[in-house]
Amino acid sequence: MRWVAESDFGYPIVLTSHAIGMALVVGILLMFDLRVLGVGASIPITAIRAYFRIAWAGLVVNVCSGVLLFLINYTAFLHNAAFLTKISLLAAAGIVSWLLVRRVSQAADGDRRAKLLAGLCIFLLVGAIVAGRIIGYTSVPE
Amino acid sequence: MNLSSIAAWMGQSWLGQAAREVFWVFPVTEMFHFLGLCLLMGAMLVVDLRLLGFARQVSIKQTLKFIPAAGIGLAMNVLSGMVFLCAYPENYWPSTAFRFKLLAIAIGGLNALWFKQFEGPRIEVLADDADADLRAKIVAALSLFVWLVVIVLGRLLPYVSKSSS
Repeated sequence: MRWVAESDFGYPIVLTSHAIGMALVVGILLMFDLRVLGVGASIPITAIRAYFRIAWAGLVVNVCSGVLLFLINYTAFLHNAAFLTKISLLAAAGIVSWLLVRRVSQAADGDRRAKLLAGLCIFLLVGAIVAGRIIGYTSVPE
Repeated sequence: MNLSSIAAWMGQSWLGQAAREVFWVFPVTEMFHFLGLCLLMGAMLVVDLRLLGFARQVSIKQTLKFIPAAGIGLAMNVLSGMVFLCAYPENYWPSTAFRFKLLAIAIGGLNALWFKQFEGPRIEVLADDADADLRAKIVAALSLFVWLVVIVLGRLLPYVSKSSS
């Protein structure tokens, strides 16, 4: 942890990994949600799931980089409302995505409940980005 | 007009003043910049990875339907990036990381124009399960590489300029 906090490039490298991981997970999930909402409607929803491997890879990068960032100053993070909000929103986005994947494998394309879940997932992901940015203004490590 | 007078003019503009003085403008602009990044990168992953041979069960021409999402993301990021630049031009113009980021964005933009003009029409006529040819694969690989470089340079920018000053 001291490497991340104290070396010149440790902290920015971990932050950069966190941004790339975000682009992979949130990017792919947003495209999946957009597909459920009707973008590219001639692509079967099940086919789009092929990209989930990329989202999983991004999630691994972000859990690892996120844990490193958290450990730099975990007492501050645990008392930071923006951080706790971000974690809750991400947990909710994970659950909603899981429900959505289950729903689309059973329901017909264009199903209203699937669309509601996709809309909710977009809302939660945008919320997590907003909360994450606020962390930078409320609890800056070092 | 030289670079420093343009920078000074940007800093004095109403946009620059608002971004510095109204406390929520800068963070809200950052939120848009991050969301735009996810839209651009997400759509490019869907299109470019399919061109490179990934997710073969997805129709190659149907992936092009996601390109507008990339366009919206790029537009969001150019606009929000202008706000950052007007707020603190002195932090960006002299920075090597910023100049390389601009260069990378220019290459990414030209590559996207090339794709729209010359690759898109050739992909539209392919069969759903077709493999793209080498030329299209090179354009796709360049697109993914350049946008990743843009993310890296953007995130490193505040740290690189700090250490060089």
